[in-house]
Amino acid sequence: MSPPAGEAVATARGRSEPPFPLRSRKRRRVENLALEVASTAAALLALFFLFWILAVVVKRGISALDWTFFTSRPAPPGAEGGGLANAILGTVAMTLMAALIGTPLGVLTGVYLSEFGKGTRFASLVRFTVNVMLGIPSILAGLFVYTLLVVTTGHFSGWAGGVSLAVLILPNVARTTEDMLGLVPDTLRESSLALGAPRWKTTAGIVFRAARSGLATGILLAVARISGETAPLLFTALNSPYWPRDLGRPTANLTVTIFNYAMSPYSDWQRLAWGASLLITVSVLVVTLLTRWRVREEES
Amino acid sequence: MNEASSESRADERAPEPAGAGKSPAETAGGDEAWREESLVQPPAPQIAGARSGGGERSTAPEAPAKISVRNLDFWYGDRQVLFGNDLDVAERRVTAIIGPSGCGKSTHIRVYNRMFELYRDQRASGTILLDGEDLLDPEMDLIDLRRRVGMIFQRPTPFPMSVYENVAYGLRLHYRVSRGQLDDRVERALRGAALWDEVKDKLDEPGTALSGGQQQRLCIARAIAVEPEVLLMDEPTSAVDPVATARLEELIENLKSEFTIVIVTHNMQQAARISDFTAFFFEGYVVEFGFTERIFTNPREKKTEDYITGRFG
Repeated sequence: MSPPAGEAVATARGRSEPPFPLRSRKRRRVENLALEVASTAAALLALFFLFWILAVVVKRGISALDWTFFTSRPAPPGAEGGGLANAILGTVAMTLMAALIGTPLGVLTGVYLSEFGKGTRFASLVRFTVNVMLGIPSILAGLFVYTLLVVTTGHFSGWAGGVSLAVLILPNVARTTEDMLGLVPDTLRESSLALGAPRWKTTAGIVFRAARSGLATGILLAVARISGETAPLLFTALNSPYWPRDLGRPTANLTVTIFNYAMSPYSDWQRLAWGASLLITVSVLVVTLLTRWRVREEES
Repeated sequence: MNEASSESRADERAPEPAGAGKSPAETAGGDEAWREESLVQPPAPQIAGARSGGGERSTAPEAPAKISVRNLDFWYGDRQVLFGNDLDVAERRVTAIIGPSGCGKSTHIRVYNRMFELYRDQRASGTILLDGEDLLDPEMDLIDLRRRVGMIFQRPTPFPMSVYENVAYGLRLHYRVSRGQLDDRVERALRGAALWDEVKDKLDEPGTALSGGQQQRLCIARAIAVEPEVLLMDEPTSAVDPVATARLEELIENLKSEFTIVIVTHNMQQAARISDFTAFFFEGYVVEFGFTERIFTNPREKKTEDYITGRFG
């Protein structure tokens, strides 16, 4: 479409006058840049502190991680040597117990919220409760189990420790499960139901399968997170210098050990506390990396 | 096919029990003029033979009604979206449902397998006879209903499992079968869906690894594996490319020798190509229903004509 001869040059180039004054291009660029700089700086700051913490933990903790650390019990105050094998075992036992109690309950709660109770008032109530539970300080979970299992039995115990961690893991897993199942498109559910599959089979056979990698990741991360909890164990499992032979008694664990040893005047204990910190940090890191790697494997 | 002749024959004995007996004023819920006029149903002439009780069921083209919808209303919460729908779906024929977006096409067929019951705020009333039995009756066994009435969705929905397991899933749900019988049935279903040659060497690969068109045929294989009587298709070609669409249309033509097919489509050419009967829906009403050829060449309703000539929609 060539313009008729004699028209203005601007029109010939196909550029029309804007109906209003244009917004300043320079200003747009400045605003863009400002936001970009601010968000990058914030990200860098977060990374900086993370690496600082990691560096200190590694530097102070690495020397404690020797053979005895993983094989012996702590030495008496003042004596040389000793390790935290009992606390490692205790933490593993109580974390496993929490996972065994809390995960099935949490998954089933999530299934109810996402599948069976969806849209009901009761589900809203349950969802609200789960959100509140997610927000309560972990020390309250400890106090709750203290009144429930420690006061009634008259002594601290590994069972109480495991239950208090389960109280913390439950809302986490419930929430993750609801979120992950919520990502599965309704048409997939409908396709299974349309073939004549009952509701439970659709949930167990199709919806879970579709959400399995997200679910596994969420559950592992939840377990990793509670393995580093201290407050709920203070009132329940307490701590112990002995091997965790009986979960009916106070049970050794890494986090309360860190709490106690870091404040002790003995440099050997302080060293062990740093070692325990490093061990927990590395474990959580490894679990996180493993799940991420697994998800990536499955997606490719 | 001599549809035209059978239609004129049917027209001669116009007052059939099916759609007649209801005055327009009764059926029309709205006050707009077009509704009052348009709700004079064609007296379900084409398939009336069987309904009047006399005809032999097997003599085509007077196919008996597999599904008879009477006075179907539907609500999403307080909002009514289907109004007094009447429709007869002929056995082993393709019935197309056309109409502009949001006119209730999908909603209508989702009542046939009671899929809507999954959602708490959805409600239907009226009767839908499947071989003379009201499928909206709460006594109806939902699982058995869905074995008899299969469904294909707008987007392919392969399950997160292998091609083989996708097809075997439904079979295992309903039948006790040995491994050998299962292999046999899976192959038959995949052949039936014109997919066998393409996937016979990758039965163990995930169903999601197939192309979009193949995935949709996998879903068809999965649906026909349980040997349903009716196949509901909700815009089955809207998410696949033109070549895959052509293959699916050919497949649908072949499937009608065994299955009663109801297909919702926004593509009028598609309806004209593959269906024997067409229902035109508008704003929740069945405006016109009849032989596809007649609907497209000689619509009785102004609204239908406007739609198929592209004046709106």
